Amino acid sequence: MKCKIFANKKGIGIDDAVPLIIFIFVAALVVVVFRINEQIKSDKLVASEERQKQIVEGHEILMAYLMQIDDQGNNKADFLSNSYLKGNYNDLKKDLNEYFRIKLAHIPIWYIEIIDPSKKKIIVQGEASDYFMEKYRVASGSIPVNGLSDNIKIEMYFGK
Amino acid sequence: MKISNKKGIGLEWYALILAFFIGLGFYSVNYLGEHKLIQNYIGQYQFSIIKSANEAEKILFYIDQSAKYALQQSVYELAQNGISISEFELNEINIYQIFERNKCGKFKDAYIWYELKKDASGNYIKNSCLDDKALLTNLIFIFDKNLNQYLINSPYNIPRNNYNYEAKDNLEIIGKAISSLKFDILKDENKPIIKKPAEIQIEQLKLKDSTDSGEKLCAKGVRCALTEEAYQLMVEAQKIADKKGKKLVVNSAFRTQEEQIAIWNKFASTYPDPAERRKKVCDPSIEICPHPTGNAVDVVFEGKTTAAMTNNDWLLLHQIMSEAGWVRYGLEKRYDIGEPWHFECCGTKRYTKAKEKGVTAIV
Repeated sequence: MKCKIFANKKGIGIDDAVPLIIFIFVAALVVVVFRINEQIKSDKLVASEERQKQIVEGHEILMAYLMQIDDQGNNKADFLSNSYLKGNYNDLKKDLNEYFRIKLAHIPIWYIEIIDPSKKKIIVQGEASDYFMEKYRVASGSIPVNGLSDNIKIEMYFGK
Repeated sequence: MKISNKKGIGLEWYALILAFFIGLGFYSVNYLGEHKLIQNYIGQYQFSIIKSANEAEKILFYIDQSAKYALQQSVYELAQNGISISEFELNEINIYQIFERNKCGKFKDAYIWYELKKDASGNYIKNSCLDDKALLTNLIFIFDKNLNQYLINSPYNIPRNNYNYEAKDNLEIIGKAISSLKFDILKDENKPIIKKPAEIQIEQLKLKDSTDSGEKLCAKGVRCALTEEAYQLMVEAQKIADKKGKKLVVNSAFRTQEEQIAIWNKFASTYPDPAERRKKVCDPSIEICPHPTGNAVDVVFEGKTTAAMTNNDWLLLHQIMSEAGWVRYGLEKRYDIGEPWHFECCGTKRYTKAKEKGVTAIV
């Protein structure tokens, strides 16, 4: 018996499409993984650059504070040094708060620490807490104490 | 009906397999080929430079602030001492800072400013005990001592004795740095460090620089470079000192020729006559000075200044150093001649002369 089939428009069967589907699927997967990887890298880079920007900004703000000169020719470093010598920090705390609250208004969490020569924190001004997800030092400076062979340290931290 | 269906694999499968192998080939070529690693990110170098500039700003601010306090303190101390310098103010920090001695000494614990003497005809003659320039010279001397003390106690590594001073009216002191402050930019970078002429000079001398090593042979702020031989002798001396319950501190080791010239020039105003000045300080223009050879050290015991070192201390120091092979600038068992803190080794002129004579101290 002879059988002849006419007008048989076969098209592409599912068997033929499998390699193509696998190819597209694998390619899509590779692209997605690659994009995720790039995104992570990019996020890290942005975070790192953001932090560096904050470090530069923090340094500028801190130095600008220390270099402020009053009408008697004394700067804030002298004020810090004298406050330490007198052991009276009320005015200093108020001054730190007033200055940095304005300058760091765009930073959600910040605090300033002043550490005496024995490494004791004598002032912590700002929003210092042990419960931050992350806190990092953005600026620091040392100030000699007038008449003493010692120095006090001022450190600025930002947090998340 | 017999259908012989020998389908096999289609062309698309061949294409896929081919694509896979082409991909594998590219990967292998890339993997096995030379890798260009970019460890930094855009802006990292710039940020490192900014960070160093910030660090420099902090240090300069610290120095300025220290200088301000040092000057206030110096004026007070100078007034207390009647603008004279007491021997107790001399220490290893300011050995090379000039000062004016009071020629008349003290009366009832106060320095004498003027001395009245009768001449042959019975008239009183007034002699000034200090030169006119003594006020500024001694102020700078005390200022230098105080400033160095602040800098030594700073958390930064600031070189000591690093300023040439110039006093102006209205009590203004201008300090010109002899050596620049040095900062590491990109410490972790693998690329070779571009060396400055001073370092090249040191390398030519084959010096061992242990400034930043953990050995702590030298005092803070001192460039701790010596020739390999001198370094080994210093380590040996330290071992001997340890056995005797002492710790040695090197206050001066290698100096560049420029530093030696600066020291020489510093004394120009006090000793304008070069012949007179050569008795006090080595003239680098006519002779090879010991410190720039990397074979000389100025040493004291830890925790002591040169003023606080007793004769017994000098004796013990001499014993320790000579046992290790060093030769002292001075005379055997005399600590008022030469410099009891200054030791040389390894072929310097003084060392060779001492070895020829079989002594451990020589002028």
